[in-house]
Amino acid sequence: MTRYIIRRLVLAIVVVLLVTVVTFILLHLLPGGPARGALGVKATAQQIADFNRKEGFDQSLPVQYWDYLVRLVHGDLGTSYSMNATVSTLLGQRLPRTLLLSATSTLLAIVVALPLGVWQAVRRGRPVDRISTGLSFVFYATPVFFLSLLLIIVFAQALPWFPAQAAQGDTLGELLSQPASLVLPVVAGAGGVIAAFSRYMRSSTLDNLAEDYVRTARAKGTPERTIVWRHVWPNSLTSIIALFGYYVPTIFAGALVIETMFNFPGIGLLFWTAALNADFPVLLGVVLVIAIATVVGSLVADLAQLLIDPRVRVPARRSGATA
Amino acid sequence: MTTLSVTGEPLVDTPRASTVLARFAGNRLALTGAVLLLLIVLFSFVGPLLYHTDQVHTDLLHARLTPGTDGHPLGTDELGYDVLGRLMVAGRTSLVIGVLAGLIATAIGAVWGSLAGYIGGWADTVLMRVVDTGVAIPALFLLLVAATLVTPSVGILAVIIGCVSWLVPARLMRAETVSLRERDYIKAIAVIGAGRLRIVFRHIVPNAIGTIVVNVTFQIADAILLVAYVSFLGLGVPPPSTNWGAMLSKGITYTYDGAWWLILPPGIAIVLVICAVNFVGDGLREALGGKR
Amino acid sequence: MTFALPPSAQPNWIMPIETPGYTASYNAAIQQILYVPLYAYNGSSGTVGLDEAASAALPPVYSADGRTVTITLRNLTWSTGAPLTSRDVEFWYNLVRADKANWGAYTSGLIPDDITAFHTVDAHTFTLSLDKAYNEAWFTANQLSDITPMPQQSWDRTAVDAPIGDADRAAAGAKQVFNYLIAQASDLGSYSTNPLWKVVDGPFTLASFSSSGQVTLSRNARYTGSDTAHLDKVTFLTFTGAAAEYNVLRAGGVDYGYVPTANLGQQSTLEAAGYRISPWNGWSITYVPYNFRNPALGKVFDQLYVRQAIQHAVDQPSISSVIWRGTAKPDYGPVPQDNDATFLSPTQRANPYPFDLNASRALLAAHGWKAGSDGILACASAGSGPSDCGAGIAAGTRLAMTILSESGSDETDGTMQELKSELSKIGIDLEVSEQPLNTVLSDSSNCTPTGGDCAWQLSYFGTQGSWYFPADPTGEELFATGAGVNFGQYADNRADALITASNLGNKPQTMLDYSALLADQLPVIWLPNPPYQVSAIDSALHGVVQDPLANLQPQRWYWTR
Repeated sequence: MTRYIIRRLVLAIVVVLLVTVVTFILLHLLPGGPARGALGVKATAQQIADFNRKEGFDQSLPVQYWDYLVRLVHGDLGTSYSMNATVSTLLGQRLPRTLLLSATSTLLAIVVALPLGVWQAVRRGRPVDRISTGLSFVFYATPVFFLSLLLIIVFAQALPWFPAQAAQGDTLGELLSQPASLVLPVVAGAGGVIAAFSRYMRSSTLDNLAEDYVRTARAKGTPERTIVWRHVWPNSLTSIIALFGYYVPTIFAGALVIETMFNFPGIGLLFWTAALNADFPVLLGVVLVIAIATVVGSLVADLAQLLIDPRVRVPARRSGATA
Repeated sequence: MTTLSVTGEPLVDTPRASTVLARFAGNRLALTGAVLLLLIVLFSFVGPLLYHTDQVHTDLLHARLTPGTDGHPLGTDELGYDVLGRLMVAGRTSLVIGVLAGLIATAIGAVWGSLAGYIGGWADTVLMRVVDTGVAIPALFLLLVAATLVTPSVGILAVIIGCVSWLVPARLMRAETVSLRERDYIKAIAVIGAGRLRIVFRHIVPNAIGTIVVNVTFQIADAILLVAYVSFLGLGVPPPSTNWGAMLSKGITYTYDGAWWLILPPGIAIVLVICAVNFVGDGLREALGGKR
Repeated sequence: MTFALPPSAQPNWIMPIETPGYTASYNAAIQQILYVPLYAYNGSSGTVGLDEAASAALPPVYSADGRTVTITLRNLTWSTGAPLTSRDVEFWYNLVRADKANWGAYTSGLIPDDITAFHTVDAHTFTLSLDKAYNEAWFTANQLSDITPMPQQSWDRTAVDAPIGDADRAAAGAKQVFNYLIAQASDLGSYSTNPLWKVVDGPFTLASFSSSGQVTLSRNARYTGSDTAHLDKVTFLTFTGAAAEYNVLRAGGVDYGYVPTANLGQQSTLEAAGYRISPWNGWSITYVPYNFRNPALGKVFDQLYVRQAIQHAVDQPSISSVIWRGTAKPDYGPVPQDNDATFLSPTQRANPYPFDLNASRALLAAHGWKAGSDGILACASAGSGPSDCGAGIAAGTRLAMTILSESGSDETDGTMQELKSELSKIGIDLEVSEQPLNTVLSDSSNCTPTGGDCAWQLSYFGTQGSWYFPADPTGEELFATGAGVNFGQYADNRADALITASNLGNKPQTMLDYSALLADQLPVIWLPNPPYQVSAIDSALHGVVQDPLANLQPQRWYWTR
């Protein structure tokens, strides 16, 4: 088990490195390069050449990549030309905000979706299941930007209960000092996830209910309640943890849209403005952070799967697998 | 249904087509989904043949007409395009991109995942680390780079979306394969001496057909949504072609003006098509697998 | 008092000398409030003119031969208590002169190159020697206005721990001082706390500056000029997009914001909510450059009749009234299409090429273009005779072109679809390639007079106006041969002569001739000029004048509630 985890950790590092390589190559495929974006319309050819020399863009790609790695090892992620701040400062300010937003909305989604999914499975085919399943389909099919707008119109304007934008300011403290301003973004973020998670939970519970051990338990006369909550629930829960691990990139993509709609300066927005401005150091920094988060998520997911299904354990070697 | 059982594990072979059809027809939700989907396809592909509108030339003199005026049942948009006609043309783009991207993603994912899962060893490690790498790079970043390098046409966008969304099906398929691999009859076939590729394509993939079909439906639905997000961020198919997502993201800027005819039709269309595809997918899953 | 900055505008520079990359107009707008420029201009009175109260000096006096300017400073004080002196102007001049490449606004041959010497007369008076005689109005408006006195007694050091001295008087020392200041300014996170930026002479002083660009200014209690601030505090809010801003505006979270075009139908609702709506017009023009060096179509664009045919197919009135909902104004030439007759010629005012598809068709047909089976025109009569396509255009050349257009704006998107639609009616195929603004600018500027990548054919980057002029709308940066922002490499000797004359001579007729010539010659496709923004201003906020130069004068704003 320990060996397996160590192996996975090493592979995770390899994956993160691969991500930086691919990102680096893709960035340099972009026509024009970052100079014009950084220097503006009026910059002269001389200024652009100076900029490229200063930032090392006149070097060959492998040299640039090596320099990047060396700086990375020293904890230097570079400086954003468009935001006049170091990438680590920017990440340090934006990452906690996005984490707060995503964590809260995911937590909300889990708290709502899991019991809902089980309930739907148990009441399978009854009107409550039909209606709530239908509703979750509608939520799943509603683009987040549409849902956010509806929330703003209803709960910020028609009924002015919550602010239309998230709290501004540089620190997490300022954000937390106005909890009301987090309500709409969190709900918008949770909407689609609730729909997706409850569907998975419903089908995973149904799967488990069809398993032999449930039949056996039923045959033995175990009450249905006990079957569901003692036996099926823990199994379904682990599969949801696996799902959650794989969900990290989706959550990030959702954060981008929500941050745009609620003027929430988080990491998604940072990524998007950097992409539009061809701000290479910021793009690399954000991709790196997301890559690490995703890889950690997958790792958690794989480990969770391992717990569900011991046959998967040590998947790379079929012989000598011991429990 | 054949059962080749040593440990009492139920084995599921692909049932006959007639059985599938009968089961599917017995499922009201699935049937509703299929009919809905058929209607949407007819609307998008046959509709323009019956209801002629100019979706190529702008008509600024007749922009932002309310529904019902001048023979525009759903009004016109901010450039004077007839909204009903545009909904049909946009549906075509959304469906084509959705289906193509869904098929591409699932096909790549199914092959990749089953190979990784069945062969195992270093091949598995390498194949799955490629998947991990792909998953860890934000799809939007890939789309942004792609949109900068090529002008996205409908076909190109479908391929791009297909190529960024095959990773999840690959993982699902691998997990499915790993669990199928350990089943006794697959082991038995391997002992008989069947080649790896043969086992993968003749036994593993057909056995996972339920997973694959269901995944295609999810992928189609997700691709249609992804096109909507991509359009929201301004990276979609260039005008004058459009899709439901682009119509919706454009329409919502007119929310406060009460221009419901620019928002609700594409919004409802998206919700309907995604629900329909999912109903069909669920129905197929039940019909094929007998489960759930 | 809260003011919403334009969508995605994030102030990111504070020092009055902007290094390349930090020259955005909203940076300059905020700096001008903190550091009083030598000469401030604004156009809020209807014509662009010198704003004496917002300037650090009395109007300049030019010598009879035009080679010497004498300038006297007003009675201003730095917040340290030290008076503003000639030395503070010399400090700016020394730094910029020592390291021109680090000044973003530098153009070779122009300021500081055109000032050969700085002479201090006394603490409040100095003279500048010029390399030749210039158009005085132009020199004050477009050159001297770049100068901002800086607090030499607080900033003139070569390192954090070095003593204040006269290091800037030697070229090497000036470079060191400049680099020290740039290093200080290159850390946005420290702006709020760095004592350097507390030394100001403007009506406001910096209270805070967040990393996402939100800036708060508070009234400068030690300001000694005549332009005292009324408000205690002004906060500049940043928004990621117009839609986000509008949501907050509707919820009452902004005192002075803007209304996206799509929401202009909501004017009465906003007015009922206590806002007044007022378009803020820019001192700008908007256009699509032709790439005259494009290998495939450069020769085609060289033909005036082709440019005329294309311009005849642009329905500017409809684009302005429908797509821009009446907020953009048709634009027919190289100077702002304004009522002010100082620069605008009768030719440009009258629009020489009104929307007329038949005129377009006739022009192309008369020069040997015939529609192919796909309806797209192709050259059927190569040659340079009067009824031929023109020199260098091969038979069979098709009128199919691609426009590189900035993404992210519904108005631009609509304008491009409208252009494509009208051009298709005269047999020209236009493919629209949408890219982020940065990519459009980057690609467009890659084609140089002698080399570079000239693959682009047409390009559009004018969602917020293609070009904002300084006080005088002369063309030395736009349409002079080889000029920096002459992306399409337009070259015309007559235009060059008029541009030079407008910079050097004092004849008012020069600008009128220039306006008429380029309105007639169509170096670019003229398009409607969008407003800087359509403002929504709290009806209790007064004293607001919307300056076409995009400067802000918050010191003159006041509440009446």
